[in-house]
Amino acid sequence: MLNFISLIVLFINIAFAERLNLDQRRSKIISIVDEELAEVTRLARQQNQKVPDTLFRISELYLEKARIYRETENEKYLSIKPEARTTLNKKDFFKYSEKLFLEANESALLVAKKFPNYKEIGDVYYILAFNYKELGNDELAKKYFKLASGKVKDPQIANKSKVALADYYLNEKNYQEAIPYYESSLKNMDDKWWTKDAFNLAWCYYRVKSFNSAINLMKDVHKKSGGKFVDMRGQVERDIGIFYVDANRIGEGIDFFEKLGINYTDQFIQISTKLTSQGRFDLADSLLKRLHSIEKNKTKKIQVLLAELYLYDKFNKEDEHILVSTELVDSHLKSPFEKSDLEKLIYQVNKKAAEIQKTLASDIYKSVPKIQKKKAKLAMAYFELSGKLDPDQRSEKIFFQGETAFVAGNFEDALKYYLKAFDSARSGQQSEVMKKSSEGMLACIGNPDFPQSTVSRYYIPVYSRYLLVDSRSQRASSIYIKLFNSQFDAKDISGAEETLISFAKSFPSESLNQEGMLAKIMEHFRKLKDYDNVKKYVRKINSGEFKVSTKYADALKVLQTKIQIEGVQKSLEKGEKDIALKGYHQIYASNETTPKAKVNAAYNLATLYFEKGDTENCYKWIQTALKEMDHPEVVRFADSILSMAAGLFLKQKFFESSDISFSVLTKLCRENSSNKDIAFKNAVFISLANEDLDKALEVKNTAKLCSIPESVVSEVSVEILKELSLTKRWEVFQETIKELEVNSRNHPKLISPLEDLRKELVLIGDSDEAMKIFNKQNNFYETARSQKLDIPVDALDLIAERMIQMARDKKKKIDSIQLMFPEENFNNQMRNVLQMMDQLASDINQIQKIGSGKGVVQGYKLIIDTYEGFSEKLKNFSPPDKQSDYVESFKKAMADIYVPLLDNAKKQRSEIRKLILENKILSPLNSEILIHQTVIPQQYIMTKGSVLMDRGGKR
Amino acid sequence: MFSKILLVSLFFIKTSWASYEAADRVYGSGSFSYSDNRRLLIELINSGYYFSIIPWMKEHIVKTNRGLDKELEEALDLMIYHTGVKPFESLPDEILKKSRSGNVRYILAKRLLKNNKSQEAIEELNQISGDHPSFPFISNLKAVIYSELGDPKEAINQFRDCIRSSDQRIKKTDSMVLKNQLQTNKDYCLAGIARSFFALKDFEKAELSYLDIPKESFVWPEILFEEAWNSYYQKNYNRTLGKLVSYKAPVFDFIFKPEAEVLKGLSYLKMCLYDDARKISDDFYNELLNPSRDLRSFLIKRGKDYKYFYELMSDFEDQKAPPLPIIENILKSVSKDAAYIEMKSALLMSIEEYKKLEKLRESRMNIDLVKNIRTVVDEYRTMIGAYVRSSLVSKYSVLYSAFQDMSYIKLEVLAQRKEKLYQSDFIPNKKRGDVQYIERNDKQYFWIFNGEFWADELGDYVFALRSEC
Repeated sequence: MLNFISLIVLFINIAFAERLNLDQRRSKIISIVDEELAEVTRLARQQNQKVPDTLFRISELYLEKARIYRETENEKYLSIKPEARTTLNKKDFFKYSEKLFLEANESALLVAKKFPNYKEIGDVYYILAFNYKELGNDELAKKYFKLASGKVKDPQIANKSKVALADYYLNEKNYQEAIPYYESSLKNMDDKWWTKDAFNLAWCYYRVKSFNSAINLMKDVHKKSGGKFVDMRGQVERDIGIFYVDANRIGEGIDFFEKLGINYTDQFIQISTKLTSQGRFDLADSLLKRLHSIEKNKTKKIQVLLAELYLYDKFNKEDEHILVSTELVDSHLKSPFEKSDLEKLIYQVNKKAAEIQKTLASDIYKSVPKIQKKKAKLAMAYFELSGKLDPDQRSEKIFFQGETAFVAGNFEDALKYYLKAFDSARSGQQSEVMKKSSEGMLACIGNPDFPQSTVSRYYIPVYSRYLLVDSRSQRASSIYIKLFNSQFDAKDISGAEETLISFAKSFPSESLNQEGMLAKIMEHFRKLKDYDNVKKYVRKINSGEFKVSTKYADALKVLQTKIQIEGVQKSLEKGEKDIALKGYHQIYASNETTPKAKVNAAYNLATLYFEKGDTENCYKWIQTALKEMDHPEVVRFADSILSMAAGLFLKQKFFESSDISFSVLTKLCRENSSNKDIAFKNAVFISLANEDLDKALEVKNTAKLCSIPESVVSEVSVEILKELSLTKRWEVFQETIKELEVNSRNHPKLISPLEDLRKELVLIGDSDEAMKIFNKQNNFYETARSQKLDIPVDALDLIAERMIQMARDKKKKIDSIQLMFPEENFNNQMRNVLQMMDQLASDINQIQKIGSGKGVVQGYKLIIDTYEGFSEKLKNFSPPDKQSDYVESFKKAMADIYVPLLDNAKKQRSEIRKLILENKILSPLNSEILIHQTVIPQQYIMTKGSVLMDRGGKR
Repeated sequence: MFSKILLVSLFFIKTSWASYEAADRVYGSGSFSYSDNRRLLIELINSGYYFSIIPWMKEHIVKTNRGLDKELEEALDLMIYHTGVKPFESLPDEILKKSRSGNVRYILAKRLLKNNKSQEAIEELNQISGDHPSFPFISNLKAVIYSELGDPKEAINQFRDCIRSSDQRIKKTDSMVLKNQLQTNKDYCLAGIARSFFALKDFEKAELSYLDIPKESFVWPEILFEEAWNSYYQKNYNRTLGKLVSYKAPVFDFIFKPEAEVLKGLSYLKMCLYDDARKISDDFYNELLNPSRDLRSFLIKRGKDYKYFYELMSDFEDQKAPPLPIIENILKSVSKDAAYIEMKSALLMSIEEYKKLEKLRESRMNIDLVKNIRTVVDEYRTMIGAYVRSSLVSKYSVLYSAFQDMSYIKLEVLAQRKEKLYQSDFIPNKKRGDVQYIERNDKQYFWIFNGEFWADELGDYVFALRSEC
């Protein structure tokens, strides 16, 4: 049976076996092992698991299979790139072999449990130990190695178990436990591994401070190395020095190395490195100092210095470190170092610089400014050295100096370093350093501890540099502004202009900030009255070179207008109207004049001409202004324009006035302005005054389009009706009536115009239609009254006139009565007259209620005339054929009648007079009543310069 | 390792045919004292009634407090000569010890040996006189016991005594049956010498000793296997294979020997003919695994139903096919077995005696003897049944062991193949079967194997395979 030892031998041999395809060979072996496993498993079953040999064999076979798979898995694992390997779960790669190891163990454990006295139990334990070692279960591995070392028959295996145990203890740093196992195994061992295991034992001795034993054994190992034993000379030469040092036998150590022809400097440097790593500073320091003093070879000396550097770094001996660093840098500058040495030096210098800088950045030294300053100085010294060591990185090192000064709170120095680093980096096109430096500069000038008086000196150099590395970011945007402001404040206008141009290029969409800058620049030029420059910017804005908001653009236009108008305005203020007039003409005519200024100029020209009484030019410029004004401007100026239109009307410029009103109306048509109604009415009325009925109608027709209130439209329509009646355009008249009738509130206003139509109808003999209108008029009147609507006076007069007519008929009847006797007749006549007089008085009372002045006057007049006429008739009547007594008595009796009548007539006259005067009633009968003359001659009195006008004011 | 030995005593038969009548009279008288009983037994033995009185003889031996007298001892020896020792093997040791009969001592010694009391067994046998008719058998047993005691030299001496005494007895007897028995005994002893040399690892002497056994000997087929082993230990694997191939001869078709296949496999293995070794192992499994499982099931199912096993054997001899082919193979082997033949012969004889008794006048004794003989016949049948069963069990055990061996062979083959893979190239197949690889001694002949078997060539075949190690 193939036992475990031979199995291990086989595994060693596999490496030397024929160079067949390894996978094929493994595959063949696995196939055989599987067959063996199947056979042994069958055998074990047949033997009812009672034969330990068979069970052990199963274990061996699983182990064999496991190891082959482990090799394959290992190769596969190692074939993966190291960086990829770190991300993988190593266990996954060894899953299958681990399973097989466990299978091997299961079977071996069965043997160990069921057959403790099995002759090969030592081997079983060894296998278990070995497997547990492979599986990483060190505790169980140790347990079985221990059992194996006591039970295994083969001394070689026993030794291996002991060595394995010793190795375990060594790894656990349990040197005392390891020593007896190594000693015991080495006693019985003579194979090639003796040197390796003895080497480990020597280390164990060293660890338990048996330095002499350790040195002696190491020397033995050195002596035996090579030949049949594993060559451990390298390791011995590497390690024995430290043994000598610790044993305080350095002289012997030097002898040892000298005998071997090994340069002891190298060895002791190695030892010093070890001592350093062990934290034994004093020993390492004195060792290196000794080497430092005796070593003459430059190359070796560098090594010693580097070792010192390493030591001082480890133990943070900064003073010593900087001294050694400086010495090394000087040495390198004199004669350049080997690459690896230079790298070490650079590493140390950079590391130290960075470390100190880092500590400076923390709060450690905040409370001890002296030390902080010292540290900063040190760090800067390192950066200085670093810059010397690597000129290509000099800019960066200067930057770091700046950083160091910054963290130490020395901002001005820091700023200077940053500027220097920036400029240096710029010449070397080191954009990263430029960027970092510019950040540093900003941090400096932004630091509240940096005195403002000093910091302002650096704005421009800092900002201008910053923008060289970053001209597009949000931050750059604000830097631009700061730079601009700084330049502007420093009166560096051309610099500010450049900044503005650059800003506009970098941030074309930031109109607000561009505006801000532009405003400042333009205001500057404006103040200096440098309009050329202002105009230049206006042109640039207009060409789109600068983006500004609409609002700003408008403001700019205003400014431009303002500039243009400014001079003229001043002339005006001085009363130099002609100069102003000339100026406005020039502005209007100029190509550079903004539309706004043109409107302004036109309007002002109109005003000036109006003031001058030049109606023609006034009209012309108003129309020009209106044409060029936009609607809001028309709204704004409508008042004054309409005033000027009214002025023109007064100056008999009806057409111009009406045209202006109509133009205003047209402009305001869609606007919400109170002047719109005025313009509308003016346009209509002035057209009517100008007898331009068609124009009036045209204007009226715009009412709907321009949303003129219905009341206003009704008002002008009633006026138009009058003109239509006069011009006998009955068709349009009737259409207009129809329109107005729709609203019952218009009805009272229509009573009078309808009378014109009615009369016309009477004239043409259309009595039916005339009657209809008659009735309509009455109806309109009655309805208006009942609804308490205002009824125009002429309508009231009309209605009153109609009632007066009936009263007149009554008067005529009274007047027609011829008094006569017999007395009975006379008495009947008197009764009739008096009765009719009562009726007349009642009618007149009704007329008075209408409220028509004319009606009232006529009514009074009628009743006064009736009283007076009849009184006269009565007074003058003498009964014929009667005695005087009778007559006298009759007369006397009649006097009792006519006197009160005359008194009443007198009283009535007095009342009506009072009414006329108090109510300012205009009536054709006023003169008769007031003057009480029968005939009053017509008289026309004209003052000089006055004109006669008709109703419409027309001459 | 040593097979059962047919023990047959040599006797001069002193037949007194009239004695049956005398015995009948004694039996019929009703008095039945020790001496009457003794007389009765002697008379009946002398009258040739050996089987029907077995129960009475055993009862007499058990009941008597004294040892048997010489006359009765002689009568007992005569009786055992016909019945064999089997009917008495069941008697307790203390009862057997009462007898001074050489045959009874022989029975006792065998039982002591069986109970690992080899020294006591020797002491018992040493009390038997050298001129006892059973001496050749006794010396054979003594030699076996010495071998067991680890004294092959003394064993060889005893075997030589056995051979010499057997030869002497053969010359003296006229009975062919006895002659055959003695010849067989002698051949076993010859084999015993060879085995002793083998035990002494003197394989050359062992080989020569084996060659002393004639091919016509009853034991020779079995010895052939031992010779094969001997050659194996001599590392003469070609000869081992040659010996074993003889079992393929039709004349040995009754031999069912799984062990031979194991040895064949081992031989191939030793010659590094792994494919051949593997083939032997695989063939063995293919051929016998399922039959052996069936056999196991069969044995479990039938248990200790000896009557069934007797009938199984009886049917087999009547040419009726057994339930499994493997059983047929084993029964063939059993039918050639000396112990079986002895038991079968005893049974036949007991049946003959039964028939004879039935023909005699019916008397009280006759009726009792018939009763006895019926019991004895049944016992023989049970014994045969038990023997057949144990043979089947034994063969199963051999098979079981052979399977393990075959597994080991296969494992070894696999291990060797694997080792080659680990170490170096395989040795390519070279020419097989070449005369130069044959090693011979002066008692052997070299035969070119041509696939035929000739009776006189059996056991002398030698393979000519070159070792591939």
